[in-house]
Amino acid sequence: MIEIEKRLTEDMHAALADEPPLGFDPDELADRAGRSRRRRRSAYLTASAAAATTVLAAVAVVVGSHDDAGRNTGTGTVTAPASPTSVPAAKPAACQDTPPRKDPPLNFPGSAEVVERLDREVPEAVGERLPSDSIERTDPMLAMDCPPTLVSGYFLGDISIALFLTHARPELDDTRDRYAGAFPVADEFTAEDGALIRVYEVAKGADQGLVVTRFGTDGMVAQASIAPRGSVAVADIVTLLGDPRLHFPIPH
Amino acid sequence: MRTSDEDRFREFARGHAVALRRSAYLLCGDWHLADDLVQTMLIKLYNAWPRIGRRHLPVSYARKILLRCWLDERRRPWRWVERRDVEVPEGAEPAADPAAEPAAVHDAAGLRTELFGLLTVLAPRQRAVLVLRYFEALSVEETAAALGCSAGTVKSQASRGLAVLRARLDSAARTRETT
Repeated sequence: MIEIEKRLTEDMHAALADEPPLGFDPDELADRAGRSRRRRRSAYLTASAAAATTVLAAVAVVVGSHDDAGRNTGTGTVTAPASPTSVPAAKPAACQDTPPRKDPPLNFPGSAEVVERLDREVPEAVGERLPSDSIERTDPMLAMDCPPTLVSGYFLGDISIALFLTHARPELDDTRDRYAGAFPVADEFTAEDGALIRVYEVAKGADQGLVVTRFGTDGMVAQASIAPRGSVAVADIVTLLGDPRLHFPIPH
Repeated sequence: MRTSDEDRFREFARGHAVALRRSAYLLCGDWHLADDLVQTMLIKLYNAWPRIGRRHLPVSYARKILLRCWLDERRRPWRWVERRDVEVPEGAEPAADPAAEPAAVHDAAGLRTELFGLLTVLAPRQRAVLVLRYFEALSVEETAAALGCSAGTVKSQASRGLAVLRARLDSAARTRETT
């Protein structure tokens, strides 16, 4: 080592001779970082819930655009064919013109059992379809009516997933999808069972995410909002959204 | 974050905070700012911990974040004034140990002022190279990895940085001889 290098090394070590104690507590800092992380996650779910409300409003408009016989009375077109095995959705009269609301949660016959089953089975399906070292459920499942919808959120490590499960009509007018035009469509295709899959890219930069919506032929609309984008394969999300455990028929 | 990851992070933070703050201090010349830089770095590291914990060496990753934090800090407008001032910033000096000899305290303070006066004239990346190479004793390759540049860049930055320091020391010695 030449003289200048040696002197620099010595001076640097000597400059630390009267080092003061650390100005913070590492454990307290870890607590603070954990709280900050939880706040961010909560904010993400709030934003997701707002997005869900938008989707619900769009679906409510779709429901309102059909008469009791399922005929399209609005300006949109029916694109998802009715499945022979589909269960016709009961349409509460209140859904005709009112916006979605959280209270009362669900009011169709047997809704309590449906919520109880989905509350138990949806996390299982998420854990099986999207394997991860850790799965953390964020909040109790949120139920909304008009149309019947259940919302839940999960964290798989650093991956955030919000699931919106809505039962609309046997024929769904996907052209009235409120996401259309608001975000770029990354992909759109028809699954083997006839369900329409639409993939949106939402937001930019660090918050960029992906929304995958499955418009089922039985009237089930299953949607997953995922961040960060690219963290989960779209094919895996589509498989999850088609999982029978995420679906709920509405009896006559 | 899983409890085991959280525990590993806490263990890492407790074990490395002091050493990383020393590097931060040699970069910025201010113990308070060094505390801030290390705290910012640890919070960023916490957020990335589940991803990096098993794939990278946490110390190398932490060093990278720390350097990025310091380089970002250097770009802040209120740092421009201090950058032109070779004196150690007011409040940057730790409280003197009452048990220490006054002469020793004076010598240590003089050494720090001279060292940081020399380092301040260097470009940020040159300074970072010198701290990593001659304080942390990293190899050229390790330094290049920490700074995200090539080994050749590290060698040239170190050579230029040392040349500047040598010139400043020679100039100071000549000034002392003439006075």
